Amino acid sequence: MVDFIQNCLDGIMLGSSYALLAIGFTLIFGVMRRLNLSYGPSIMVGAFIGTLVYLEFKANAVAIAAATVVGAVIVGIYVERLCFRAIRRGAAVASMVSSFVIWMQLEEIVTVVFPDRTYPFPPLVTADPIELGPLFFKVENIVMFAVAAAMTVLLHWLLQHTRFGLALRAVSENPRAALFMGINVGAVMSLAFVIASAFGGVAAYLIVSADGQITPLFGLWATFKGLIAMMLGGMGSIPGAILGGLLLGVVEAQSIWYLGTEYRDLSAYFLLFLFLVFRPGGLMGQLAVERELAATRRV
Amino acid sequence: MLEVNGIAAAYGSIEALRGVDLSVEEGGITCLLGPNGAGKTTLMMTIAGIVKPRRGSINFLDRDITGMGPSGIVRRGIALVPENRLVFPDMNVHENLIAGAYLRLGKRKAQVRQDIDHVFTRFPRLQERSKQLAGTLSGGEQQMLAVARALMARPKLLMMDEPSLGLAPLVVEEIFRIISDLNADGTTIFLVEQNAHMALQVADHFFLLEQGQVTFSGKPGQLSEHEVIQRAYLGKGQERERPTQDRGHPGGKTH
Repeated sequence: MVDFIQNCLDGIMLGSSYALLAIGFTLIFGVMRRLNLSYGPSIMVGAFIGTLVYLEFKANAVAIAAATVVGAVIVGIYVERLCFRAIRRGAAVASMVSSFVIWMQLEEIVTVVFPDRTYPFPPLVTADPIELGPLFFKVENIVMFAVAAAMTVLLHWLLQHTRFGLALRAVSENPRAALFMGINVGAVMSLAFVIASAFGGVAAYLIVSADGQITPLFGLWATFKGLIAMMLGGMGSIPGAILGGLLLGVVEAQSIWYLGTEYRDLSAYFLLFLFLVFRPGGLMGQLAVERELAATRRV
Repeated sequence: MLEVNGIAAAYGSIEALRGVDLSVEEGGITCLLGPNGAGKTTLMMTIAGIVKPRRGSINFLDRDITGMGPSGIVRRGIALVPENRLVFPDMNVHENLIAGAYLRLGKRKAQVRQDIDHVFTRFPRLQERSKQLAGTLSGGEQQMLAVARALMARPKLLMMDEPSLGLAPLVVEEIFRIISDLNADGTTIFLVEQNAHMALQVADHFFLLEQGQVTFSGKPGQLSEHEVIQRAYLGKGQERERPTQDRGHPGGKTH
């Protein structure tokens, strides 16, 4: 029982980083109605820029984190310009394919510039785990959870209590109607990309610094985790992204403990499969799916 | 108040408007009737600044607004109630109204709050449902919300694209009562309709749009309702082939 509880807590802390990735994914999906497959790779580039700053200047944690986030945002803007702005109208498949192409391009660039594949990444904190009765907490996991929670609260405030948040929600719900209100839809979309990339950058920094190393494969990994967490929660839903991320973290932590590390990803895919079959709208998206159905019936 | 001169617009190679001339007088209800695909919605989109015209000019209050973007048009005082209402389904009624005043949100918060109270007095049903998600409202309530949301932009000219679309006859009557009331309170209205019967009862002036061109301009009564309905549904070309079209109750398009 203690093991189970320990796994749940570990899973929630791990899952908080997945939640950040999923929030980024879902923000972009919400305003664009398109998947940005190169989301993971673009924050991977951010993390490599963080590594570069570390290796070249022996910078401190704050500077490395800032470099990672700024790098992720710059690459995010690049992706938006190339894949989503140029073909904003009527070419959903083209945007998705081109985001895949950019993914490959980003990975190639990183392997050319960083030929050693695996690079060190300094930890944010080095402290012994905290013992609380029978439970253990790694300090870096606690930090990860705290930062993720703070970012989520910040995003909630931004969406619910600012003019920009209102515009972003309006664009996600109906871009055409948002235009009629005089909202600058293009600018809102670009800013949503910037925010999503910043969230991804923070997530990348937390995850990579906890791992202590980075490889170009982190891009693939981040896209997978973010995508799965978003699908579990429901596409386009921010509460869904949070729940999906936490659920994914808990399921992974449990399967590592009870089944073995090699089952970690397998159980994540299995969970996704179950959802796609039995609850395709995800935890929070189902309501929207049903309402849409009801609306078409009502007329 | 609004003058549209020789407007042509196209989607790619498909020409939707082929030199449209019309004008909307201040203080009245002007109506645009025409069959599906005649270009009515395109004209609304062009005036709203969303579709860019290929030729022609649009003047509003003696200012050239041709080619201006949607936010500039809203600022000038033209608001649109779009076809199919397009409320924000996951926002509540109150938030939808605030979104309608988006361009004033920065500086004039008190004024916006006042306007919301004003809109709620006009539509008490929306006040009752203030915290309800717009997507859960009935069709008629959503239409009211769409009108109220457009009013939040403080328009001098209110354009409405098929407000009766898909609504039950009793609700359609209510919507048209609202249109008359708004007009009586001083809002100029430019109405696109399929429901010619209802539209002719409220209109001061109407235009027929057929195949991207205005083919008639006049007051209700200048053409028999029968002929208007013929042309509003079928276009002039087919009139002779189908002389006895049911003129009972125009239901409009269904989606």
